[in-house]
Amino acid sequence: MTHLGQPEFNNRMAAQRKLLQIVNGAGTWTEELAGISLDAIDRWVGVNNLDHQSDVLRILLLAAKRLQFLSSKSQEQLSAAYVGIMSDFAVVQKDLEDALITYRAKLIV
Amino acid sequence: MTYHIYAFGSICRGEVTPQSDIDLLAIVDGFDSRFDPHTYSIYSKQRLRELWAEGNPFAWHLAMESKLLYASDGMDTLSKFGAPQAYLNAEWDCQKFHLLFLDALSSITSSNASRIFDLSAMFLAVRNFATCYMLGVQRRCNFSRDSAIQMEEDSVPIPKSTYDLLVRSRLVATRGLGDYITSDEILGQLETLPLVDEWMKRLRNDAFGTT
Repeated sequence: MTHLGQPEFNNRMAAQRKLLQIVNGAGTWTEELAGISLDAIDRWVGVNNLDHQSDVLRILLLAAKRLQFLSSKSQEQLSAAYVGIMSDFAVVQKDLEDALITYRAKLIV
Repeated sequence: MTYHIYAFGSICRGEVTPQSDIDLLAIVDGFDSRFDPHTYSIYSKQRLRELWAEGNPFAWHLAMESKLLYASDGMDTLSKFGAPQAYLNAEWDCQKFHLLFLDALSSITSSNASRIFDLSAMFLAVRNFATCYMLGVQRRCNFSRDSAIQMEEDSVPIPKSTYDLLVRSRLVATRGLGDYITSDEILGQLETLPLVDEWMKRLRNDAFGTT
């Protein structure tokens, strides 16, 4: 058990789910991406032979680090960080969608 | 800069399996680049004092199941804190984890795009619900990852095959370990998942009179 966060906890889970649905809904993968953690992303990249230089990977790793940052923040620091990072997630989602389109287009060419 | 390193969790319970990780806590005064958040749970002493004062389950977890590995000042900080205050937020936390479960159930029944994550979230919800319920209602400390199946007659009433699938999904989704979860495995367990909702409703109603 880790520190049981506050109301934001369930919202962080929902944010992760949204990113996963963008990735897994963007095509057929050997394995679906199962979580926005560094280890889950590492597994997914390996199994699917994803380009390590791709924007898709860069964006996912950034999202994982931000989520990890939020989960390790103490409460008095969390409010300001939370508002900023969670509002950034809308941008992350859009960037991820664009990067997946680009990635898929390169595969077809 | 003063710092303290503790082990906590499964390794301190002797609950060791090939899949066990080692939970490490770093208590630091401020940002310390030596401690990677991928490896350590990082807290300030002030924040831990607050968790102790509110009787937070994580404070109880650390108080009951942590071992000092290193202290730069030679002091066992957590032991000096003594016992945390009584845990009074069980109703709120049980509601939170019930909602987390329902979000995951709704997602897995309406979309195929985050199924392993949804099962992983269900495991997290079930485990934390059980731990909070036991600590807040039964005044029992059980921080095992299997707390939900260690509640005797109140254990989560799902088949072992369903429970094992949740455990495996958690491992894949968080640590990238274990065999992949196939569609057939997921479809084979979907119909038992609403039993978890019934279990959470019953325990919340029995303890708090609300669902």
